[in-house]
Amino acid sequence: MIADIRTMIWKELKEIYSIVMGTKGAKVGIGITFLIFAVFFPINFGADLGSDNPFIMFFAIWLPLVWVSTIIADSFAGERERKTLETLLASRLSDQAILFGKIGAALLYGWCMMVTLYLTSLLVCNLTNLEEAPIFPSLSFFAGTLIMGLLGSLLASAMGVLFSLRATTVKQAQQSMSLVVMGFYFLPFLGGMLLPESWRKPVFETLKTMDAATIVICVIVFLALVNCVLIAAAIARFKRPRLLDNE
Amino acid sequence: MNSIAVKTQGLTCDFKTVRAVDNLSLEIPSGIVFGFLGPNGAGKTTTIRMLLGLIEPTHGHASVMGHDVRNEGNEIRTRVGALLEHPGLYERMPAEDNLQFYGRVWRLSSKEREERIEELLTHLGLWERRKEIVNGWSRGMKQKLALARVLLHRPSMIFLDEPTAGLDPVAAAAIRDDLAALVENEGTTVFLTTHNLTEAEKLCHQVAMIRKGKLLDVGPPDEIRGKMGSRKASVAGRGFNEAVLESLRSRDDVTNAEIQDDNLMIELQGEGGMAPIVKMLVENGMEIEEVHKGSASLEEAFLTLMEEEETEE
Repeated sequence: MIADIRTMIWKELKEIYSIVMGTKGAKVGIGITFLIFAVFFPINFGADLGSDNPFIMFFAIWLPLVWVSTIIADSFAGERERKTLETLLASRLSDQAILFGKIGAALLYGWCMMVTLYLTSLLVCNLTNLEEAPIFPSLSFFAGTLIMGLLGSLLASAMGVLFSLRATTVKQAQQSMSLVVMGFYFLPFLGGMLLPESWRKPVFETLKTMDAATIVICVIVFLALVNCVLIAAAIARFKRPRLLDNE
Repeated sequence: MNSIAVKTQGLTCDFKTVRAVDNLSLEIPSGIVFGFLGPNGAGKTTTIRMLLGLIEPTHGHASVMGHDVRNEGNEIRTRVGALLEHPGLYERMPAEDNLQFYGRVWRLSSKEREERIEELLTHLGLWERRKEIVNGWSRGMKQKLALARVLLHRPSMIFLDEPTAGLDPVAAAAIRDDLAALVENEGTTVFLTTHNLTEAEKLCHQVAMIRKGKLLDVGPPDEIRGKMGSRKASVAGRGFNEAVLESLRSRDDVTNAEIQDDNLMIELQGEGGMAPIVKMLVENGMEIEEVHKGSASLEEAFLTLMEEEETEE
């Protein structure tokens, strides 16, 4: 099973590479993101970037979500569009190997990009502030950021695969994915507004009393739970006959 | 070889209100090329999907290499290779990577993969182009590469859905030769669907004809041709006229008689012989030079079966 998942990841990463390198828009998008987050921010915010800044954690979730959402819609819907899905399903690979291979490849892509960007930004930050070097966040913050990035990538991967499984076209999967990603960003604000007046105050009071570490742990647990639900839904949705129905 | 590669019993598949495959019962021995013939929408692809365990039959049973299609789809897919309706190639990847991927899927070691890929691509004339992205290739080249992918792990049975569709005659003939060699050298069982009846005639040891999901006939091509051919006869000679045609048409063992290009064309009822008819013609003063019976091609046999089925409906 592990060997089969590795095989799927190998193939998916080759496909992701061809999508990214074969699309001018994707290359430009990644280039601009790196310029902003790995060059512009470190130069402008200096040593602040190396501190335990909570915004870094937010970006650690947000950026992989954006990157992964650009490629993950292709996972099943793309195979269906290009008529390669039936051949893949007729192979000896198990349902889980195909599913986890696709999720795993997208997760690796999003997370590796995020780690590369974070390390690059720290490097630029140190190089442009040599007098304050070495600039590095606390180990617990650094580890938390990496975990947040991992969970953010997994969230986008699992969600994207779920949409891609039943979408007839890549475009359809991308549209559904964008709506949910947007909803995910607005959820905290909407949640605050939609809370009954009587609940709002105690909730905010509780949040105020929580320290940063507790909030991070809560976010990690929340994301981990959401990811588990999404993966379980994807496993339940992965039915070979149903996938062929959409062909 | 006398073991059974595929066995189906009352195999039926319904899609909502449409019956795609209707009570199909077949036994396919190992080590032969089995042709599954039928017009578009006959149920050929659905049958292949059921045999691969990709869709579940509504009724009936089927086993492939002793494995039940309902519960042992993974075991079946592990042992067979399939070239389905589309080549199923990753066109943004180089040819070699396509084979590398499926070599890994079938757990060939790195050395085995390298050797087998070189062997197959050399044999199919694609070795020099292995680094090229498949996207720009012709349909014939893609189909050859897809065939290489199917054969990569040396499966004991392969399913081929219209493997030569859309190919030029040279490429189609090359693929036919490869398949024939495969069966000859490696004893692989081939389940082949095709519209090309000449191809089926050349390649298949047994054929089944299917229409609207129903099996019309099954057997060696010669036997099927013989059955249909034995119902037609042409008589070369002199003196044929309308009166003779009328007397022939009134016989119980003749369904129709016509004069075409000075020859008498007779359609026989059932398996009746020509001797009594020739005797009658001679007694009526005809001069008979040659009697020729039973030379229908598989295509003629197929069309006759289709017409009969349509008439019965």
